Amino acid sequence: MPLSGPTWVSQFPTSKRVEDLAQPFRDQVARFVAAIRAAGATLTIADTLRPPERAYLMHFSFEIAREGVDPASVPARAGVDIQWVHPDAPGTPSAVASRNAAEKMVQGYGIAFKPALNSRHTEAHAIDMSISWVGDLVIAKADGTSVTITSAPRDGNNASLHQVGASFGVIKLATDPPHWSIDGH
Amino acid sequence: MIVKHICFLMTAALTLSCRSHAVNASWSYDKNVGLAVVAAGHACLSINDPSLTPNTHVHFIDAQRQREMPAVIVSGRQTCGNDSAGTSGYEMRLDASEMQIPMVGIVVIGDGITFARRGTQLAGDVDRDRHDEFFRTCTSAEGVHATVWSDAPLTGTRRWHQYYALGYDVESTCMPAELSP
Repeated sequence: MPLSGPTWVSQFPTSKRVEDLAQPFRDQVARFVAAIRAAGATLTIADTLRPPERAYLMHFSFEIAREGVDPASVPARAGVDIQWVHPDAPGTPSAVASRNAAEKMVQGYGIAFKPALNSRHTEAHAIDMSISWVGDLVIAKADGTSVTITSAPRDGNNASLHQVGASFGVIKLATDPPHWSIDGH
Repeated sequence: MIVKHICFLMTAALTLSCRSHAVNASWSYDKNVGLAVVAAGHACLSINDPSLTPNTHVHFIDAQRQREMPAVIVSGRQTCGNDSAGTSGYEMRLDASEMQIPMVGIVVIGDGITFARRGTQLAGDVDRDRHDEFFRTCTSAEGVHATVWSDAPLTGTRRWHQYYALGYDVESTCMPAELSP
């Protein structure tokens, strides 16, 4: 079983692909994104699926490195063949080596705050994207009718755009500017 | 003659008083406060001022631990900025040996600003209006909300707010007053 350490950081990468979202949210997002682009707005996708395996690695590496959690107590996860406990030279567990390896993972991931284990992103039910446009935005809702957005801001924080997104089943989370999901969480 | 002397002294005193406490007309929260990210090997500043020059001295504020430390602008660095927010990016130099990195902090630019403890809080009159400012960072679903408050954190007047997307999910620690755009 491979030991914990920085080589894990490049595994289970975050996706930017709409195709990696779960149905029916995938089709809802695809239609909303197509409507935004057809209206002439600029749209860049940052994140879609954040693999639960990656969230597991981030969460527990942080707990071991920064919160003093015993690496032997970390629950195993299917599909992540990682050994959190580093052996000392004669084969006895080394708390220091285990913590140092976890800290290298924390640095590699760039973790500033404790990562959550579960989220709409790990469920493939969320997308982060930046959206912007110039002037008025004439955009089609899910029912095919058009709305003209004249209000500011001319970006993903626009309340009228949020209503358009909702018509496709893509709901804005107001507290996090890039984040849209299946239910606004 | 005596009246003239009194008037002169009063005028001089008022002028000095005004100078030492005047709000600098060119100072603004929009331009002089920014968001910093410190990680292993680099420290980035994102701020709405494209004219900062190397060796500019700034104040880095670790709002989580309520500490202030000096930092210096090294050079412009485009990847430190935020295109969608229209901010400019800079590489900073600071002593990170006592810091738990990676870290998201607040940078304040201005001459003569002093910081002091008010209970457990760091405070400083950054805009020179004789009201202390306070500094906070908190997390929402997947980002950091950094704020500056006059008079008191959360219950005072919010002067500045900026969001930083972490790129991973976290547990929310923010209060409603910190979250509004």
